[in-house]
Amino acid sequence: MTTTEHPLDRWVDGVRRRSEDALRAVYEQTVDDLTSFAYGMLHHRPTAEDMVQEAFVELVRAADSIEGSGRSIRVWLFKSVRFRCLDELRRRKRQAIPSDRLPDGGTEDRLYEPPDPRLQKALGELSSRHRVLIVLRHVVGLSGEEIAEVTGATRTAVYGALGRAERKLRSALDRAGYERGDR
Amino acid sequence: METRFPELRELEITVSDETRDRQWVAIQQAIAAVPEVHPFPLRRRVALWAAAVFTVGLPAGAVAAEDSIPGDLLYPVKLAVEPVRALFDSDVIAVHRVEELEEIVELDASPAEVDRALERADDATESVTSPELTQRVERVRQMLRDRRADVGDVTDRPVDRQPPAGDEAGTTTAPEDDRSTTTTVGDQPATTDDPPRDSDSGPSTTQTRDGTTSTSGPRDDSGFRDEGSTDG
Repeated sequence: MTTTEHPLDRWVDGVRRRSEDALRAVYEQTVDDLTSFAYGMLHHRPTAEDMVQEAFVELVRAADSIEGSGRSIRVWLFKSVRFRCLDELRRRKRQAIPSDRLPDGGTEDRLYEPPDPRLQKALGELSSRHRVLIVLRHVVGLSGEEIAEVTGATRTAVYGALGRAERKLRSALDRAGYERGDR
Repeated sequence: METRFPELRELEITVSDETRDRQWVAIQQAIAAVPEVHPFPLRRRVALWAAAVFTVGLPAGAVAAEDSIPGDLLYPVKLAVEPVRALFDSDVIAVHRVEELEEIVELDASPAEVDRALERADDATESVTSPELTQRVERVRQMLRDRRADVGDVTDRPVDRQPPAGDEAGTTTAPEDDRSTTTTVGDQPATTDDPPRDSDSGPSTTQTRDGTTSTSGPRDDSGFRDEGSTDG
């Protein structure tokens, strides 16, 4: 993966120039994964979509400082969404907002079915850091190296923490009533 | 994608078209809101502008002002630059005053303006090294005498007569001359760029530095044109 051309490589210069075509291409190729990541963190789709939108707006503002390849842009976006989601989780914790309640600022016209309560409960037992690793690896499908770049950790640390997170999640899912293979 | 946690598949999102459209509008607004990026930061732009003004603008303005006479828009620029140029050419101020006098006379300006120009030229040429300048002033004065004699105007101020003290408009009217058609104070407003009167400076005489007296004659158009400007 590190030696092959990344799908976003051809848009890097355009992103730096804030080309609408380039930004749209990057958006289309990353929005689903980014939203899945935010949703996996927050369990509230409108908020997850807001986080992703804010990340793209921030990308536009910081476009001329973007360096590297198309992969760097993808990592940048995931980092941005991660920071926003962690801030939101901290805010909810401070305000004691249950994850199944509509957070302040949500809109009624974007009602979605929340995740399975059992899943929410199981993921809720993980620390935010473990949740990030689980979602990035098993929902979005990022490699260990990419996760290391997003989280700022070493690849070794990521694999070690990921293993621990996976064991915890499995236990939590079992306790939540999931049977192996449940969807 | 194979995963050890199929339970997590419900977290996989495909963003709706409606959400995509909404988000893309926000992104486009962000693109439009980005301010124009300057190649140089503000401080550097200010420094560049100042350098341009002082290296290009002021010299260009000074060149453009070179031929200005009192009342012209660029005349203050000419006066402002003169002290600097005088460092390289001590007679430049006198040259300017004489040229202005000649120009004003040629333009058939009002007598008050001519008189003011004469005074300025007299003052400026008082200490010049070049006799040619005083000769040019005298030629102008003679021209004026001749012109006024032609129209019956005998109010030309004698060359050795000091103007009345406190006469800031520089009238050439001899106090005892009732037939003066020259203007007095109020006819032409004194310009702010008029050099201050030096009450001790006598009017320039026809005496030149070498003791000769210039006589009337046609204006020497080949006069002092080489300003000898060395101020780059």
